[in-house]
Amino acid sequence: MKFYWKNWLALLWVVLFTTACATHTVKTTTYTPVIQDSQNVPEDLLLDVGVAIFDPGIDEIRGDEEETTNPEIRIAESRYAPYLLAETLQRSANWGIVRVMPNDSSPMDVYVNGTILQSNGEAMAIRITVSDSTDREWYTRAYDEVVSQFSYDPSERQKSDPFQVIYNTIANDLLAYRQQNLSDAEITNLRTVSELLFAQRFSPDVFDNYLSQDRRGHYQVERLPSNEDPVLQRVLDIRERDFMFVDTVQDYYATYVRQMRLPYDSWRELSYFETITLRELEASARRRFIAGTAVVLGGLAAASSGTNYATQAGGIAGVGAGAYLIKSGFEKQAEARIHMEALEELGASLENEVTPQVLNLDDRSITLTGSVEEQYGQWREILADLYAADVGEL
Amino acid sequence: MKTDNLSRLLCRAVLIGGISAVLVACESTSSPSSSSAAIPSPSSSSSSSQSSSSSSQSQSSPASTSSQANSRGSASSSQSSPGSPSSGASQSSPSSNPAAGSNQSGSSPSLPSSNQGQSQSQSSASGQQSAQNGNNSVAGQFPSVGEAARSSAGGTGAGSDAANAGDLPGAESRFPSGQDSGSGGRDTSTGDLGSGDNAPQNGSLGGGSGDYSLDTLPDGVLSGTASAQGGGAGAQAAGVLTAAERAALLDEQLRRGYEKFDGFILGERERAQAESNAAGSSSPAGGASGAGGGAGDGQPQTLEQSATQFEIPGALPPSSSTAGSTQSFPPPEDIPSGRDDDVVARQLREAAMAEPDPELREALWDEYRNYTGLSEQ
Repeated sequence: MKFYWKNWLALLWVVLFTTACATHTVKTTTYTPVIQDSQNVPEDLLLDVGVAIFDPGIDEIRGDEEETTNPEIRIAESRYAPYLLAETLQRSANWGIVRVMPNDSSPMDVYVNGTILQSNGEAMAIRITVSDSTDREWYTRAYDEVVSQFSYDPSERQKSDPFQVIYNTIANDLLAYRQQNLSDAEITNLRTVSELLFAQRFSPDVFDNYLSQDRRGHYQVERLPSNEDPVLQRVLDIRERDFMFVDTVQDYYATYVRQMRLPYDSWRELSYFETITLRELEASARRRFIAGTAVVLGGLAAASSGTNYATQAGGIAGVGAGAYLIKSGFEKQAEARIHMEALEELGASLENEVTPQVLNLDDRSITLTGSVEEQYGQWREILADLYAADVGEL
Repeated sequence: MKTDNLSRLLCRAVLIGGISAVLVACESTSSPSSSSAAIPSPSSSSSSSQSSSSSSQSQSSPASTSSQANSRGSASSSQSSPGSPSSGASQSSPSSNPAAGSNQSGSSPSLPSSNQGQSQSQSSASGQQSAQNGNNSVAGQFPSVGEAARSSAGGTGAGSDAANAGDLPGAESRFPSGQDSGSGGRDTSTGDLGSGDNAPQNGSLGGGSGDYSLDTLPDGVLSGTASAQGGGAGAQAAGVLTAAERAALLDEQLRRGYEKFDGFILGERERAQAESNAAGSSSPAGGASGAGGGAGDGQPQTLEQSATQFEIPGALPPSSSTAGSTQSFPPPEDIPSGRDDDVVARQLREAAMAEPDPELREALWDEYRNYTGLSEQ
């Protein structure tokens, strides 16, 4: 008789253990501010930062997230998040010009590339790769943030993005790397390289020999042009125009972000609750399946091997209880399905709102880039002719 | 005996004939020929003005009229020395030599020179002429060894080849058009231009020179010393631009491009900022529908379209580098991100962030707080 009670006790422990197998999520409520470097950094030691359009990371979506992840929203986010990061970096006053780059043809001192690994109302994960104009990679790091309901409080939303902490952390890491790894001379070198790369783009005849690449493919300055070099002055004039072009694209992105922000925030807030509810329901259903199965098996064992009526009756009752648990698990699963469909509907709704904006943004960027590149082509020809005329005078 | 006499006579006749043939051949290669215009076409003329210090060779066989011209070098001397090739000088050799120069196609008889800076001209006894220059096969007849050498002596140092002798219609330089003018400068072939042998070409250049626009300027003619050196200067003097004048024209073209571009970009920025402000103050639904519906209107203009609307002579670019050069001061702790600011609030914010005077800056921030209602919270 004691033996069977031990079995029941073990069964109870198993049930308790499986029920306790709930996932715990650590949510951040602390706010990491952007660290500001000294304001006395000389202007010529401020590095210009180009933030590329992020990779939406559609290829890296996990299997269990495929149903709740909308690729169109990811694409929209891949244009939204870089702007927020650029805005954060610019606001930190630690850098020179910080711009979202429409393409990679405009050399900048520092490049930031990102891949969105996860993004829903509750969590966001981004992989960031930073490199510089010499083509040297600084680092690749993954950042993730799980926000609390507090982040969607109207007063908080007024202040900053719910995932602002992730951008602040990226900005702080970037500053820390610059402070720890770059001397003033290296910063000056990076600025020189980006300037020469731009000059090469427009006047390769003149500037091809000013840079070389080492065996790792990193650019290094071979010699410097004279400041009075007329070709250099013309190239610098054109670079001013290129900055204007990039600034114009920033305005496009500003418009895009402003248009997307409210529906996107609403989607994220609703998605936050739905995601949490969905996860809890799925976990609950999973627990019920496991516990119900265990109870059914224990009940069957007790009923079949019971030597007296009480044990057999207990086993049968256990089977019934287990079956009820499994049934409730199915109910929870169905409930979770409803929330998943709600998430999909939310995603489809936002997709309908943001897709035209994404298309509009891309259309405008491409059209402007095409017009500008056409003009650049003409300037390149003129510069080549001017160079030829200069050579002719020698 | 008769047989011996006949054979002697035959040998003498053959010998005399051979000598005559050699003399005739020498005569044909040393006499100037109007068909072997040393004046290159506008595109090829540029190839005759060189800046490279590479050597220049010109080899010609005395008994041939076929020539192969490749000009890349400069400052080379010219020699007419049959059978005695010498590097760094124009050479006349009685035989065709295979050229290994990179500026020659492999199918042509060539000189044993791999120097890119060499200018080579070969004449063979075949009486046919072929000048091959890289991409373009150019048939060219050199009137004489000396002229061939001179015309090839001014090869470009920019690594561009050209056939200097272009008596055939359509003779072209291998230069891309953009590089043609790059070979301007040390064109020693200008001496040939004025020699009188090339009168037709000089005449044609001179006749057309006054009406050249920037786009139709014969590149080589306008390249530096082409109009200033040698006896050809006088022939080209009227209406031909110097390199400095050409540079000024190109600079002017560049400046006009700047103005057009500035007007275009400024106009586009104004529209984009207006849309951004409108999007900031619009409802989410309105913003979204506005973006969708206004996509067509929001399309950036082309440069050509904008040129008709925005002509801002001498417009200074409010470039971001300039903006970046103005120091930006971070906002105080109590100031939010400002993403919901309207136009006035944004201007106040930008003015405050750009204000170097701390007192004025704080006053601007106070104004910002008052305007946005932060002070009441």
